Amino acid sequence: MNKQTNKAFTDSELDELLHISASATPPEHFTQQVMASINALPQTIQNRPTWWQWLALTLGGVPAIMQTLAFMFSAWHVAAIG
Amino acid sequence: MDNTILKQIKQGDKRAFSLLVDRFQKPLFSYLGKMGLSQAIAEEVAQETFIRAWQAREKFDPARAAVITWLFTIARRLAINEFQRAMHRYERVNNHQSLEEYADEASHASLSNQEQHQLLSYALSKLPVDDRSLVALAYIKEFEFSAISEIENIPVGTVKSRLYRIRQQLKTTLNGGQ
Amino acid sequence: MNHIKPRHPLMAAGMSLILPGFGQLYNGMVNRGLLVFMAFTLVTLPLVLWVTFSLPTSMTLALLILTVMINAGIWIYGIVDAWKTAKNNENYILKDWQLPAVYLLIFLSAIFYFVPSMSQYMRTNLVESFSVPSVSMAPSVLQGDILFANKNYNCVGCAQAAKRGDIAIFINPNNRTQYYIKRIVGLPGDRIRIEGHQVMVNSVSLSKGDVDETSNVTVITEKAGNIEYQVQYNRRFNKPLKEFIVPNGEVFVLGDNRNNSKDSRHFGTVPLQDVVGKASQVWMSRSEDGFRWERLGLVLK
Repeated sequence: MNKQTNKAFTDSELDELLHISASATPPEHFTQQVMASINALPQTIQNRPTWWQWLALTLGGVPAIMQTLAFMFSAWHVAAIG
Repeated sequence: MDNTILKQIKQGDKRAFSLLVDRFQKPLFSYLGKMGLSQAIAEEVAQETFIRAWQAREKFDPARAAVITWLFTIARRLAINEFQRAMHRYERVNNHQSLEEYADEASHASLSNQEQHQLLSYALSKLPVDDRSLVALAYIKEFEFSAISEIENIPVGTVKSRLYRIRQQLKTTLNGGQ
Repeated sequence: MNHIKPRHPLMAAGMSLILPGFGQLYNGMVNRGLLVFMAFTLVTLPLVLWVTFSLPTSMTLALLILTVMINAGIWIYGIVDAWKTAKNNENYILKDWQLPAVYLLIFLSAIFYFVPSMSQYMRTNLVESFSVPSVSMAPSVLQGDILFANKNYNCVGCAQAAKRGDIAIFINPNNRTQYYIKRIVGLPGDRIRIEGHQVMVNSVSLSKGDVDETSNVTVITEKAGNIEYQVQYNRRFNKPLKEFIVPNGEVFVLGDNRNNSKDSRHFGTVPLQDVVGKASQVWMSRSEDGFRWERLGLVLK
């Protein structure tokens, strides 16, 4: 038996190896699998807050901010002396 | 992937989306495998990639990126996350410990195909995860350097120089270096 | 099937703007919402309590400014946090309790009950601001002064009891819709007598000498209890007050501007339970000529 020489990998051999190696492959019916998961996702309601929600925010916001500020500055709220 | 299909997908057409899944599953699995993920994990990541792509379909702008670039950006992020899970790293280390000796002694000519592939997997696993991603993308036939540059978010020049360095590193490992 | 209702950052921020912690509820983060609300409201109270209870009066203004800043900081944090959380919550699944009625209930009870109650508590028991429209306490307190009054005063468990020399805020005995501000000169049981410019309390004159006569105004330094202060007269003749004893449960009050003051010489002694606070520090002062900046932070004695 001939003595095996240590032949180094060449660039092109490396390239070839890299091209064909270490791949995973999609299983059969992969697409169906994916679409089934997508169908099972929770329904997205791509909605924005409605006009009446914004209205409630602004209308409610007025007394709310006033009360919040009143609390923040409660020590500064001036009562009159006779 | 032509623009009508992309438009339909953005509007929520699931049938159109399934065409996208058909078209891109092979290169995607190729990429994930070359990254070093096992078949089972690659399946999970591939599925998750498509699901996320579907959920983000409205944000995709065909004028700004090719759909394949967009898709692989998602996949890359998910794959990197996978590697950051300790379990997975532990598994991989176990698989390749014994190959260290293997790489030292044998001449590559005497290695069977399967052994060559294992040796390569081992060599790939020694690379940092960013490099692995780069190599994986470079060796799937769909990608030009410009696309890789977009997915990896580095300049094209850097892509080329890094690839050169990585290939040198792989050669060293395969030829019995450290 | 679960419904995804993405959280809208502007709505979240807006809700935290109008009521700290509310935006956090919108994002489903109950714990954080409650914490923000509690931090905003309850953090202030101990700080102000500490100010009114044990810190020197001169620090009142600075510390109250500090509490306002802390409140503002918490408020802003709540708004920013609500915004950021909403922005990252693409796939938010609505929780069972997130119904309009729940939001309404929490909003109404916070805005119309909890928050006002705490404001009320602060003003009644800790610190309240008063503006002074009268000249009756010149030269100590001037018309146009706005001052803090320590309400942690003259009540059970309070920091201080009423004592001679205190500038006190009390209810006008003849008109209980009004507050008055005068100096307490006699405590229950004290014998009071007034002769000319002399006020005698328990046979001791309050005057410390230091008579200062310019044109029409006579300024005299007096000392009541441990407190020294200036009073002014602009009339030579003053109606004398025959000696009498301050009844139990009442105090005798006098304005420092003796000839321009309606006080106990006119409406008699004031029940102690109507004495609600003690003037502590001026935080703003405005005359016809503009702001009196030099009076900012002035500690009242």
